[in-house]
Amino acid sequence: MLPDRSDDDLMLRYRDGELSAFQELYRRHSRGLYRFLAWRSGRTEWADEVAQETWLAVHHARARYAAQGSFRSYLFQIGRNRLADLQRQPDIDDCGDWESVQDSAEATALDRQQNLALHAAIRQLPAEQKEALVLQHFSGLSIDEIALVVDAPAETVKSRLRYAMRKLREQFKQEETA
Amino acid sequence: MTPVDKDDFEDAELARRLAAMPQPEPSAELDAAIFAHIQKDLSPGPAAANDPAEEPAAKAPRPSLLRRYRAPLAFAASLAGIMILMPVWRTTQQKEIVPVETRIIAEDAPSANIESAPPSAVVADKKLDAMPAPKMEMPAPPSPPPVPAPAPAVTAAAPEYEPPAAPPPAPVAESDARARQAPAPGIEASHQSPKEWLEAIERLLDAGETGPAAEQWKRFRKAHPGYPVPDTLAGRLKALE
Repeated sequence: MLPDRSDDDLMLRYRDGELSAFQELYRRHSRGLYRFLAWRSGRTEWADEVAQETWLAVHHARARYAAQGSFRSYLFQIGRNRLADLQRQPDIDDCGDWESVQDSAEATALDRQQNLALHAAIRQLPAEQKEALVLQHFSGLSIDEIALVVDAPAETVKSRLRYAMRKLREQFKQEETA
Repeated sequence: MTPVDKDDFEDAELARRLAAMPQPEPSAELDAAIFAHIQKDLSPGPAAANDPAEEPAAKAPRPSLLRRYRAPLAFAASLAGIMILMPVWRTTQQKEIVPVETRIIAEDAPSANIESAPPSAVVADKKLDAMPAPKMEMPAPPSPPPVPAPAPAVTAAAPEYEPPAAPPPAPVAESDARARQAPAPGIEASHQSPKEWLEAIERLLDAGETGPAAEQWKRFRKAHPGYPVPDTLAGRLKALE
């Protein structure tokens, strides 16, 4: 059964031409990657473009994939680099237009208001802290995986996460008192 | 509750809130586009083992042999065509010259032929005309043998002058041989057509016999004052004078 297999195993099968292995990998990681790209870029069209490019890059480089037990870090690294390339283009306006996420119909007015406040607070975080926070809480990566993706020591990642959470807490308290 | 415990509690609460936040999701169109691209790429077969990232560009088919050597072949074909057509063209050109000469002869023939006809031939013609018809039907006596009337004399009696068929231009070697074998060009030459007479004169010139040639030329001009003479021969004859 493919769902029981590791990412590396699926990647090796995919390298040998097994399309279902790719489909399983995509099912596992497409959402996490897309969230990371959307949060980091702030634009849905960029997230779409970079997500597609990332998966196609994985596809084209599948024969060179070295199974080292960290497919997810490998995938997110590709996406991060592609996004950085896009943002480096001179005519690109880095101001994100992804203001709010779609709330579900059941969400109460209070929840909606809290979500908007939290969203604004995350966007105000320094980029490195925001990145670590998104990778951990929205994409589900471990500290070690985040360290690989952002190319920083695990302790640095932990520190960034601590600072990010502290700022969000403070923001949260301010809103509660207000 | 210690500050650390309080922070942990608040972090847990915050984490719960973060997890509850609605998140952006890839659209179905994006999923379909990625799958379609990859499926299309995988359909021909497994990727190359070395470097599938670089799509091997389809090699342009090597141009065929004919295409590569098009220019030299065209040149060679042109040369071959020229080599083949040149002799044909020369032959055609020579054939075109002969009828022109014949026509010139035909235009001048009636007066010239009568003039050129030797008196003996004219007399013979008159004698033949005067002979009664039954006599013509009589079998020819065994001796003396009948003297064949020269062709120009016979044709002279015809209402219109029919020039004899012009012989094809003989090669140079043949004309030299004929010049050597030809009997003394004298009275016999005057019996020929103007064209043949001129050819005989030319043969004399070729043979280096300028004296007889000049003599014949004088006689020819006297007999055929208006007959056109080729430029080359005219030049040679002028040099004699």
